Amino acid sequence: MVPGFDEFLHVPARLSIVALLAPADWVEFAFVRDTVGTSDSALSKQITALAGAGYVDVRKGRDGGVRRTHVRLTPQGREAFARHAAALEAIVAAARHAPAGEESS
Amino acid sequence: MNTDDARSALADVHRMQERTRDEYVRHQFAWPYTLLTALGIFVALASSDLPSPWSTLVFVVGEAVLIGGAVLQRRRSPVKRKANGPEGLFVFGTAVAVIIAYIAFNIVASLGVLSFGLPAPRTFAAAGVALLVLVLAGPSRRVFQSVVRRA
Repeated sequence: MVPGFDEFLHVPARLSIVALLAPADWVEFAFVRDTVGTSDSALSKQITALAGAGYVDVRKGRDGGVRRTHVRLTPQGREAFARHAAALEAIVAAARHAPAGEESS
Repeated sequence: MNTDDARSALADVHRMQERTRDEYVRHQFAWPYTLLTALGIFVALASSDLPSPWSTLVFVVGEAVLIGGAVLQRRRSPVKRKANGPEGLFVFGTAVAVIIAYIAFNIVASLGVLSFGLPAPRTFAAAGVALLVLVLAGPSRRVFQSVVRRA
C-alpha cells in the first residue's frame, strides 16, 4: 500500500465530501448534498462517520429563521486528505513511469 | 489499488474542488449583490452633490447599503473561505479601479458643466461608475474565477 493512502477516506462518497470541503473554510450542508447528489440522511451518515474520525466539524445555526448547517474540514482531516490525494498522485505517477504491462495494485 | 481507480478518484477530487471554487465565485458575483453594490456606490458617490447635512446622511446610507450587502452576501454564501493574497489583490485592484473610474467620470462631467451647464455633475459621474460596475461584472467574474482556480 502507498504511504498516506487512507482506506477510510477512499470510500467514494466520503472522498467526494472531503474534496468539496478542502478548498473552503465552511461549506453549507445543502450545497454538499446537491453537489454529491445524495440524500440528507445518507449525507448525515457520512458526515457523522467523518466527524467521528475527527476529520470534520459541524456547525448548526439559524439565518433569518432558516436553519443552516455548515461543515468544515478539521486540520487533521485536511492533513489526511492531502496525504491521501498525494498517495493517489503517486499511484498514477508510478503507473506512468512503469514499464508497459505493469500496474500497481 | 488499481491505477484506473486512483486516476478516477483523483479526477473526482479535482472535479469536486472545482465545484466548490465555482460556487464561491458564482455567489460573489450573484446579480442581487452586484446590483446592491452598484446601488451603494451610486448613492455614496452621488451624495456629494447634495447640500450639508444631506450629503453626509446620504453618504452614510450608501455605505450602509455596501456594507449591509457585503455582510448579507457573506452570511448567505454556501461556501465560506478566507481570501488569499491574489484574491485580496483582486479586490484591492477593483477598489482602485472604481476610484479611478470615478475621477475620470468626474473630469468628463466637469467638462459637461463648462460646456453646457450640466446640473449635478457628481450624480452623473456616480451613475457612470455604477453602470460600469454592472457592465464589467461579467468580465471581472471570469478574471476572479481564474484567480480562485489557481489558489
